[in-house]
Amino acid sequence: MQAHNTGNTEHVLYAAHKKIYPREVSGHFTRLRMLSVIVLLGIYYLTPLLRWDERQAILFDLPARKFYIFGLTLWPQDFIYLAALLILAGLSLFFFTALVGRVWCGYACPQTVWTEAYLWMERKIEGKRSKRMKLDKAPTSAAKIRTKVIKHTVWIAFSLWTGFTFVGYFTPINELAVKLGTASLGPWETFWILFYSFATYGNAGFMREQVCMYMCPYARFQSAMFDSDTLIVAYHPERGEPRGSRRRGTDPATAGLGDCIDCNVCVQVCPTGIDIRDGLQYECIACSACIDACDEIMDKMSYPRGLIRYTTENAAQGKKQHIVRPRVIVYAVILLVLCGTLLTNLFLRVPLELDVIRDRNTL
Amino acid sequence: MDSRAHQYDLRAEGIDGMKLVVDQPDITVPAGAVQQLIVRIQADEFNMEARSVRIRFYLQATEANHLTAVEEARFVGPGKT
Repeated sequence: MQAHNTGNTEHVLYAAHKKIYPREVSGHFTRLRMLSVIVLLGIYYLTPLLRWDERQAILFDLPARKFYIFGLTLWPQDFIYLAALLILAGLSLFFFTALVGRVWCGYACPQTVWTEAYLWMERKIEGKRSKRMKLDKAPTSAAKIRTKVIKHTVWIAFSLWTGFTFVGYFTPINELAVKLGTASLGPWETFWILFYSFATYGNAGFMREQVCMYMCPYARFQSAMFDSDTLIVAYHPERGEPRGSRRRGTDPATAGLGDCIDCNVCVQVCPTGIDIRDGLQYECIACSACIDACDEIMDKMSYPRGLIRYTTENAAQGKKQHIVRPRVIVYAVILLVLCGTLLTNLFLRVPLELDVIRDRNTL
Repeated sequence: MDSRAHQYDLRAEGIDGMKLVVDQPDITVPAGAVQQLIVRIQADEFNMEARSVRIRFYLQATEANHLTAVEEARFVGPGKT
């Protein structure tokens, strides 16, 4: 869609989608992210299998209006706890964003976690970045179709397992497996398994960074929670610029160059396809893939690491950093008080109610 | 916390010598259920300090100390105005 023309520059309202092929990366933060992905996926897929007193440990039994969480049984009248939990989740987001920036986006958001998993499958089947780009550009052939069919079959199977697990939180997963085996799933169970599978397949397989860039509100309002002491992933232009390619062993000072060799690896590994060297951008999910990638290049060039690194605006400008600051303290106190109140309430709760209604005829 | 039926004792306090008459003395409520119960309070007019007296109902599970509930109510009688 064309919005308007100014001189030679054409401004379009919607950018055409360019497929991103994140390059594989290794390093400290990548290992940390992978660990987070494995642990979180493990929790998601294994939780419905846990047992507690002859029943599923965590089960939200909607027809019976009973919500089991290990030893707790919650009833619809306990929905206030869900409200409290959501408030806590919101506040945690404020607290952790103020303290460590978009750590949620980079390491724990389901969109990131499942995208990483789907990307991993894609890499195993289609190969590394250059191979994947070549495959997509190649004309249709039997080999291409075969690779694509394998990838989508694996993706769909994983999606269906995800959808099945999701419904397993609402219908006892053992019964669900039996129903699936005997093809006697109810219409709602079938709908939700397929819907959730489709959403997973679409979001993690195709939408990927577009969910973060166009759909997620958090990316847009994060700036309200950022300040000069928030942890961000940043490139250090004063050290890196002027960027330029050079031979290994060249002394950057004599060549009039900064430490950035302009290899573009930081752009190639970025799951949202941005150039971190352009500064802080809302598209950056702080996954730190560019940190690991750049560190590897710096090692190869025998330059010190940390041209792209976790820092704060204040630290980057050589000012004093304040980790503990008023907003962090306020968020932490509110969070602690709410957490304490919720837990005390939950454990002291008496699941018994008595109502007295006087007979109208007594007057 | 459990998910089984419990037996309860119901008593009321608030007026000296008042009597709680329960038609169905065995109060057993299954887990997650609501049970309706008709009870009557009988009190001597002499012991009523006002026409309307605040009384309290106490519900207590017979074999689970933590399962207890209190509810306030009013007993309206012909007492002193």
